[in-house]
Amino acid sequence: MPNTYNLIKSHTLSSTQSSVIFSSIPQTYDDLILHCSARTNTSGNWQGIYLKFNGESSLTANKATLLIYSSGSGSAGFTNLNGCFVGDFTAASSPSNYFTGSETYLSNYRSSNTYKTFSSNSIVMNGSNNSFLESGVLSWTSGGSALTSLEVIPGANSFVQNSTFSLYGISYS
Amino acid sequence: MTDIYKAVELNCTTGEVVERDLTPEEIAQREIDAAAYAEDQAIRQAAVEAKAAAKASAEAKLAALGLTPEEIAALR
Repeated sequence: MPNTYNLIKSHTLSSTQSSVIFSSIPQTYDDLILHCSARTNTSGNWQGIYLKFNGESSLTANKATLLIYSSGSGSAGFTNLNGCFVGDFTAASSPSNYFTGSETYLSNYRSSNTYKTFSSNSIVMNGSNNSFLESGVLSWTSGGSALTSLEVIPGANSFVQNSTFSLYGISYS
Repeated sequence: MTDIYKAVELNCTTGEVVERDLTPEEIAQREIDAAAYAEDQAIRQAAVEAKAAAKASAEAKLAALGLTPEEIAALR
C-alpha cells in the first residue's frame, strides 16, 4: 500500500515566537496539509492567525471565511489581509492549557500555471460557552509560482511555548 | 514585548531548525501586515456588533408585540 500521507516537518516551540516558517518545501507531493495546535499571548480570548506564501509582500487572492459559533454564525471577507486566514486561536485570557487545533489543506501547491485553492478549519474552545468553528477558503490567484515556503503568523504578538506546527505531504498514489 | 520579532525557520529539505530575529525588512513587512489585519478585524468587529444590535432590537420589538421569551427563542 503506498504511503500517501507523509510527515514533512513538525516542530514544538520551546519559547515564544512571532512566526513559524516552513522553508524549502519539497516539490514531490501533490498537496500539503498544515496542522497547528497553538495558542498566543495576545490579551483577550483569541487572536486571528494567517498564512503567508513564498514571503510575498502582498497577496492576490479571493478569500472568504465562514464563522460558526455556539450560537449563530457569520462571515468575514478579510479583504485587506495579505494572507490566508486560518482561524482565531486561543489567547492569554483563555483558560490555561486550551490550545486551538486547526487543519489547512493546500491543493495543487506545486502548480506554476493554475490557481491554488486552500481551505482551513479551526476550533476554538474557550471553556465558557464560547466554542466556535471557523472555516476559511482562499483561491491564490498570483498564479505562476509553486509554493516553496509557508509562514504561520498571529495577527499580533506571538505563539507561546508548546505550540506545535506540522506539515504533511499528500500523494495521490 | 521583545519576542514579537522572533521567528523559527524549519527547513523542510534539510530538517534544520533555526530560531532567529526577523530582519529589518521582515519587521517592516510585519508592521504593514499587522495594520492590514487590524483593519480587517475592525470591520469584522463592527459587523458582529451591528448584528448583535439588530438582534436585540428585533427581540425587543417582538416582546412588545406580546411574544414570550420562549416564543422569541423558538424563532432563532
